[in-house]
Amino acid sequence: MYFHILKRDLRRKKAMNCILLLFIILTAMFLSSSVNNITAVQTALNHYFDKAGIGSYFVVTKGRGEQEQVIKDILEQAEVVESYGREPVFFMNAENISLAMGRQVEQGGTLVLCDFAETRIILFDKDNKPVTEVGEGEVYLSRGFLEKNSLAVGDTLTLIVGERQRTFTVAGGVKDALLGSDIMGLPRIVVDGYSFAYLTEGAEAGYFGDIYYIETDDTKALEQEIVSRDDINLIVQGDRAMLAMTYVMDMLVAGILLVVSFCLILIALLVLRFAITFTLLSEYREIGIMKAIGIPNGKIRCLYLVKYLALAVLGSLTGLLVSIPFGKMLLQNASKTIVMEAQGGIFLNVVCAAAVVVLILLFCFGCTRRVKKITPCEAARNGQSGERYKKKSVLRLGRAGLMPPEFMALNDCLGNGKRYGLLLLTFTICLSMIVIIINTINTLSSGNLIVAFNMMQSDVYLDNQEVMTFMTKGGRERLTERIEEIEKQLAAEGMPARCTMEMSFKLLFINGEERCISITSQGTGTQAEEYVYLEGTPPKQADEIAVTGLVAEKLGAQIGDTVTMVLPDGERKCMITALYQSLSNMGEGVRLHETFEIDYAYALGGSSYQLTFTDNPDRQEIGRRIDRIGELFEESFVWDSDEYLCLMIGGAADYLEEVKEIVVLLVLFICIFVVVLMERSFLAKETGEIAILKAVGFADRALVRWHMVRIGIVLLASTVLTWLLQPWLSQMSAGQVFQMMGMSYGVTFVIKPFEVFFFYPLLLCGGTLAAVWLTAQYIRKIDASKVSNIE
Amino acid sequence: MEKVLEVKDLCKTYVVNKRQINVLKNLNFEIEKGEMVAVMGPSGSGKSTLLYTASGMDSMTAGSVRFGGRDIGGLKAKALADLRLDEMGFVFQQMYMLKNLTVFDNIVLPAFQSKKNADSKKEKIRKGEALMKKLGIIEIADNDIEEASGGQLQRACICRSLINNPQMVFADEPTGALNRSASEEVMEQFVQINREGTTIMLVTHDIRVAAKCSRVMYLVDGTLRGECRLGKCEKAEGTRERERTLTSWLTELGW
Repeated sequence: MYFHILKRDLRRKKAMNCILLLFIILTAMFLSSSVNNITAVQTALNHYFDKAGIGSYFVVTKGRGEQEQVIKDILEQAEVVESYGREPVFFMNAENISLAMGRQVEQGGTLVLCDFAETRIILFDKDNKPVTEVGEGEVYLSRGFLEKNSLAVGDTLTLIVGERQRTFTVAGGVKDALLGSDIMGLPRIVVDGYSFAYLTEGAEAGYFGDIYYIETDDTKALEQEIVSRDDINLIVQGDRAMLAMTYVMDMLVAGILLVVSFCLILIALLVLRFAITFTLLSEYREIGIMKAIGIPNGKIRCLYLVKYLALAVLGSLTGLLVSIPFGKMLLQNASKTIVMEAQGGIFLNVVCAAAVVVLILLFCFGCTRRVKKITPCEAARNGQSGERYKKKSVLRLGRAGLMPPEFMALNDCLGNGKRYGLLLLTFTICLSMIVIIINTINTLSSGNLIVAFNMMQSDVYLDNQEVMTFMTKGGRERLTERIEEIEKQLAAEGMPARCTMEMSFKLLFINGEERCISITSQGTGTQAEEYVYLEGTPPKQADEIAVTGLVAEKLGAQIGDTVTMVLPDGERKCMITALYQSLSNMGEGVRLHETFEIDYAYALGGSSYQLTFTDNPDRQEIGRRIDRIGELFEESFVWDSDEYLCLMIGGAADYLEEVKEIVVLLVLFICIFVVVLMERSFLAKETGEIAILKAVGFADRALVRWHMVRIGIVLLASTVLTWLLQPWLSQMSAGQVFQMMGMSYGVTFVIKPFEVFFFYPLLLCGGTLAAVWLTAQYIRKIDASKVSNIE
Repeated sequence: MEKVLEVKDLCKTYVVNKRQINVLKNLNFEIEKGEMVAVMGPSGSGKSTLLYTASGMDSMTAGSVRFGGRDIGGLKAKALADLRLDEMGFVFQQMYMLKNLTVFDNIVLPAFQSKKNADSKKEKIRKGEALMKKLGIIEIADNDIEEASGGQLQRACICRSLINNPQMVFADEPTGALNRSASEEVMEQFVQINREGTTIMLVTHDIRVAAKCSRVMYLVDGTLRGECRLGKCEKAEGTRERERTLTSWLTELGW
């Protein structure tokens, strides 16, 4: 008999059962794909490093000769080193590359040329498959470099080293676990062994280098061993944790995926709970009648549990099938530089789908506890026991000053807090997802963030292709002259400007037992007090320095402490006078006073020329001047502050832009889906009320308006809630990633009012309301004459 | 006398499982202003269908219905809705009301929705209160509908049907869900409303209810078998006599 009742129930309440089934599919799909993605993101980097065979510590050195033997000795003799692999490389810069059609190479720093046969890690192609061979005349390039220079498979480029040159065909982009991140700033050029040997033959020893991939169980001990030697020319060294920091921009994108996944799970569970409670509460009549004819409570609950079990199994299975391509789609867009794969495989999806079934049964079990309370009397009285004295109507029509549809809508929202509260929460979560991403993108692509890289903000940035010429004896003087020359040239063109530049060094600092190798900057044409500091006073004398919080922590030093700076020509004592934060070098940095005498021959590199106009031109004029400067320095790239920041942080903003598009579509889909299902549930529940309103003369249009205004109120409330919460939400989500990146004192998010307060809320509200309007057209099919047949 | 409702050759056919069911067959009748007409007949004879088709709530298959001189068959959904809102009132067997609103708000809701009702907001509220007072339910004005008895709710439904001063009230078994005393109270209200000039057409199974009407139509299998003119029910004392007359007439028709 139960089976018969169940079959009849499934057939008779087709609409509500279908709605419930769709909700279950949605929940299973979101839960399965999101949990899988969360595990993928959390283990992504370790998984990637393992897969690439990166080891537990790495060292990149520059130069050949004695130092080569020094590092080899350390690695051979150190007890903590289990094994290591050495990969010879050749350092190049943009001048060594010639693109087809005379295009300029967009790459500010160094490039790493390597022989594929000598590569000691696995490189992956765009489909995450290992690159197995590089044919003669073929070149693989880091994906970031490939995209930055708009190169595609089949394009040609020529590598020039001294008198030797060779033209290659681009075979593809590679995902390189060590050098692949934009922040690392060392794009890899992979060629065949013959070409590598041909191009580098006879080149200066200073351009050669090695990458060591080291297996060790004590990275700290090894690091101390390496940094204690000042006869190694280190480019970069670190452990996996340090390397992971270079992927922070990719992890920012993955972190957004994580936030999205958590939101999806939350939405799915909220919506599921609503659907089950809603459908069960509408069954009071059947429950009352069954009780009236003597069916015990347990059997009635069992009947509903069986029904929901059948729906849960069917829905979860379908959701499970859909979750696999859906999850993959989200992951694929999470990173272009990391090989990110779901770790749990199908097993985790199955577990999640099973969890949905259990959850549904638990919800159902909880909801059917009401069966005990429902009496046959309630069935006879259309669910009214007559014992309820709590006021349901919050507003009064006469006092509200609203037309009936708007009044009913507002009254419904205020009188059914739980139901509309759930919808409010869903919309708020959805809109927040979009707003967090927008705020992050706008912050990342705003030129204001340049100060967070411990640089001065300027109007124009001019590519410095001569930087290598200043990194020699007497380079400091030559740079000062060049800067003056540029300033004169600009002044002659009616563009009075101050020209500055940053030089960076890699220096060892010692404070007692603690040692730290850090990137150290000195401005040319600037004054130390022009930078932003968090604590203390800017360095005022040559023996004063400012350090980042991270360096202070590593050295165990504070403001006022004196530390030792190790230079190739001796040691100097300097006092820490200020602390600052920096997004560059994963938060590590030291700033020297401008009068500190340091030989630029020790420099590791230099920034672009920074031009700050002294006559305060407006934005339009700056744009015009950028064009003119481009003409004056036709060999160089010219950027405004926004463009320059994008260059510094790599493609993170672009990736996020793509992720944003997917999230916006996903959020719109979720909102539309949830609202359509909910609206359909409301229509099924309120058929009687709609019919009676039609009978007393309410036109279809007024009734549709009632339903639309109802959802519109919730949408408006959620928009306002998101507006209020968005600064906090941005700090709690993306803000944490910025902190990881070195902004230990937090970041001020750039909020573009048009996007945050208008465009995206309007898009979401418009799309959702259009869906409500379409769904509410069902009202037209409700026949007023059937009013007496309505339960 | 002015005709409020004119029904000519009215047919209503349902198609169920490719089978035609002729619920109403060529019905012809008129209702004049101030009349109170009851439609009686066995279950399934088409009484409610007639009420809904004549009021424009349901579509007709053939024939014509003129309400207040306007052919409602040619009206669009919006015009029909306006007609129901401004010119007609409805009372059903079940006391259908919006659960989220108070009794009073349910009553005045059509007045606030009506564009034709030119009364001010205060006037509409005053009228709602006056109707509730008149029907003896003012004490439940601020109650939720779940806090009112069936009789009170049905009187509230009558108030709602009258709020826009309709030309005619259609009632589908208005006392069907009420006990005897509540039923008599409600019918007294209908008689009173009718005395004040509102035309009423109601469907009923109850002879006591029908006896209070000025005319009774008897419907069998979708056709009018006859009608009994009882005249206006002026005094309560004459009710027994009217019931006897009606019973003997119905018996003749095989009721």
